[in-house]
Amino acid sequence: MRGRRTALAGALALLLATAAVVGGVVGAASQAPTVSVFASWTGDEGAVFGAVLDDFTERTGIEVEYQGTTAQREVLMSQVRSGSPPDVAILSSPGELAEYAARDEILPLGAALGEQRDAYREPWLTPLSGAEAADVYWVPVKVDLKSVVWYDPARLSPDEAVSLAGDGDNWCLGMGSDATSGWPGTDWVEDLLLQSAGPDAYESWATGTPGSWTTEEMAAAWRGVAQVLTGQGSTRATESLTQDIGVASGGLFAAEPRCALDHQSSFIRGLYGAEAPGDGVPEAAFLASSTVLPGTGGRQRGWEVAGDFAGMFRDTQEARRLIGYLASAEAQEVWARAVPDDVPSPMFANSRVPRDVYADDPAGGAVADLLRGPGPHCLDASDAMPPAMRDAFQQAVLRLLAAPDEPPDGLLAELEVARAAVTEDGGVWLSSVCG
Amino acid sequence: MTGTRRALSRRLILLLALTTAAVAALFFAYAGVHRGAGPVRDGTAPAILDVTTAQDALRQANDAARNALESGQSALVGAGGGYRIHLAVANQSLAGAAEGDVTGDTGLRALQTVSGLIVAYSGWIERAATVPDDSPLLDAYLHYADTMLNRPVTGILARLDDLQAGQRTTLADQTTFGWPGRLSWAAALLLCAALAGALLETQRFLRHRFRRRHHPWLLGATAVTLAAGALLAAGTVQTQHAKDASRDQLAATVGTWRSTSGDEPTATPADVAGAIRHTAQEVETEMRDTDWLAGLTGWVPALGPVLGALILRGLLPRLAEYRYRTR
Repeated sequence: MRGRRTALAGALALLLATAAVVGGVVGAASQAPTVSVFASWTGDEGAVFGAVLDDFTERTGIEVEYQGTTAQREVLMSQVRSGSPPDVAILSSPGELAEYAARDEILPLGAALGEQRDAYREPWLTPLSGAEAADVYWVPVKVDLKSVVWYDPARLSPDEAVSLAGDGDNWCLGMGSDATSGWPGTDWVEDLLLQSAGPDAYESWATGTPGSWTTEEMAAAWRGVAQVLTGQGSTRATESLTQDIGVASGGLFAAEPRCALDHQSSFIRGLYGAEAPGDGVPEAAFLASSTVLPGTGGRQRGWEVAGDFAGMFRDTQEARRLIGYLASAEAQEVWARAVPDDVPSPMFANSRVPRDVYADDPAGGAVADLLRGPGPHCLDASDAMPPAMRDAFQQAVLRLLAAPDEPPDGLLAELEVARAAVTEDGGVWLSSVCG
Repeated sequence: MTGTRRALSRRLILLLALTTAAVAALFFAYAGVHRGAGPVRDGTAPAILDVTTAQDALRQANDAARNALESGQSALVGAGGGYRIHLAVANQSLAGAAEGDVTGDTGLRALQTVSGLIVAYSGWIERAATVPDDSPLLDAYLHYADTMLNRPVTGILARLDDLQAGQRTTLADQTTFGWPGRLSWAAALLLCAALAGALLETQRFLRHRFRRRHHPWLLGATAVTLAAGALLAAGTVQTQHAKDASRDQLAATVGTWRSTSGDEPTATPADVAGAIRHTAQEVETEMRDTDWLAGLTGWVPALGPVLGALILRGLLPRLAEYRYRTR
């Protein structure tokens, strides 16, 4: 009897000691494999991308640590220089990725992409100039169409929309975008140049050809931008300097609309609901920009496009799997379906993404068709340029908008000097931007 | 072996087992509470204050720059000395927060992001300092700087809020007397009581079988068990009190900073600076007083050999005595 009591007491003591150890020592949880991702999406866009990353985690068991900011250049560069880059970074600027590639700070994606590579065509997978022919360093995980002008079909017919283009006050325009303020202005110049001078001149300029900033075609494009925004004595150009892009574009569908035409990338539809009466995002319609912008002869000579390009900064199994996943049609379909029903679908360059993801979004389907159509498609020139050149371009556009009545020749001469300096400093230009 | 000798052997084994278990439990319970004290004082609390300091300095830098650039004197003073000093304070504070490394890789990445954003922010301020006072670009550049600083969710101050929320979660983990601590201490005190009870029962058994009224070695073991349990529990209460006070003080300081903004600010930058200084001193004082208590952690395992020796010294002679009688 006593033996049993002693054994019982001993067992109880052991149990209590175990409880104490369990309580006192916080057990180290098993460490799941992790991949870190850096991109620009925040807010609602960040939440949708988060759903895609959740799907990746569900499929692979790999946890994702995501960080989003618009100050991509400053943040990423500091991380890379301090030796702690993210595993994968998604940048809107292939020019910036090219700079990292030239310094061997990102890795070729051949193995990570595998057969996904066949689903993309030029200009999306432009090889780096001078690199091995097979090497690609970035893949677009989401894309947008830029050579379009949006309007409210409930208010205007297409012809009416075109007829409003001559009055600067009709344009929705905001330059404010935190660290990248000024980029909407560069889009105007780029698209006007593409539609008026054609893809060859555009590509020559975007790839750093000497003298391309000071051509007459370039000056005409800058003058054209100023002319549209000052039409009918409008002060829209100057007003746009202190207007955030979301606020400016939101004015298109506000209860009391502040503008009628929005020359913006296709992603802008996601912001149209901000001030719109009722729930959800209103249905927007678009026109090819050549039908609205001056000096184009009404002929669409190409489509300016932009993307969010994934590059791999660390060669880990997890990073490769994430790149392969994000580039896949499956992931992009998840992305499209993760968007709330009343929010426009994102666009993709992967030709295998089924067309039916746009079944409930006629304008989105039309944009997708243009992105997959014959083209030519030309990458956003400022995104393709070396970052220092892009920054100078953005600043010059802000200066143009601050003084739209002044001839742009002085600005363009400065930009040509900047181009030469950037090139001399080893700036990396892409070999082509149109395809 | 006779029944009495067997009973003595069993008691000896039980007492040694209980001693081992009780000392181990005391060690883990005591170490669990004291383990967080050093990191709170040296890492988490300073890092939280660093973030608040940086936020306050950035807002003051922005105000100073705006005042200087809109004063009409920007050609002479640029963004102003006040801007530069506050910006330097912010950068130094963020470097301090990074040294604290409170929230691991996630926190360091957040700090890198904020540092990058500050570079872009100061770029706009510097550009604003280069344009004429009447240029529309002045307002534009100040607007971009302002939105970079104050934009909800993605602005610099909002990101620092997020970072600090993570730091305060870590602080709560380090300072809250949660279920692991309660379980540890419940088990430790139960085991100490069981050991003391077993020692008393053994003394009663010996008094009955060996007709000795007192067994000083076993009494000593009982006293040491009860005293150690009481002392370590009291030390834990004191340390926990210091942690609670530090946590509350830090929360109050963050609250003061938040009161400087909004529609009706109820605090000024001077209040924030005062609160930061006061809290830093309070936390330092409170947590310094727990140093010697934390230093006791390493001595807790020594209770095992001490108690074991007392128990053996009390029981082995009786076992030997009984062996002699049964021969």
